[in-house]
Amino acid sequence: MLERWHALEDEYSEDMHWFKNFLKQHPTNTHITNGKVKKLKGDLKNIYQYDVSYKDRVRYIVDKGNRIVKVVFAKGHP
Amino acid sequence: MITTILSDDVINSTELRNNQKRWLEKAYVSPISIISGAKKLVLLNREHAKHMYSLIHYAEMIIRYCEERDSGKKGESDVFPWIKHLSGKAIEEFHKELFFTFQKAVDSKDWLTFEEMLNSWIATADAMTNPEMVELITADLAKEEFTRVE
Repeated sequence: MLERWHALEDEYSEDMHWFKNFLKQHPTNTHITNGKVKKLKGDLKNIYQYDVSYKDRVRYIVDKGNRIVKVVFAKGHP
Repeated sequence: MITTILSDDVINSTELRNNQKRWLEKAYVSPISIISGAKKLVLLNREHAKHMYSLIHYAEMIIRYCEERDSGKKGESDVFPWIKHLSGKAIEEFHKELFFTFQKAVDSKDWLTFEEMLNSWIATADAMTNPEMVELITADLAKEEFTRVE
């Protein structure tokens, strides 16, 4: 997972820089992302998804109590 | 029973030309119909037109989806083909949210929220096609090991 995260950082450095700042400041505020970050639903309702590109995704959960973001999926589509 | 669907002022093209500013200001608030020979046109606020077109577009979509459900097709849809990747429970959740959010959009004229809801479900269905994501549903993330990244 870590390798795939770093691969995304290499491939999309600007987008990933923005995304890391977003995660640090307001990881659940999907309204300010112009549709790039979505809260998934149904069986995946606790997971957020960032569309890094048309083919790459980062999916993460937010532990609000401990102020931790856990990345559960990085790179590749679907 | 008489139901008024469209309440408007009706003018001809000469009247529009002669008092253009007045009618344009009025059209911003409520529709103005213009008769020009055999042609009947309407001037109306662009935001109202956008709302009407969105409402028709999504209402048609929902009606077709309801017809599919009524015909006994469950777990598959031509309108929302991606629902085949969702669990039965998730499909029912989507069905409820579809109507709830549609009603809210009709009342508030906020179609962005409705579109966001649809896009979130599409993304969910898309994610469900990935085995790694399906595993997560039953995984105990508290016991998973994560590497800290600054």
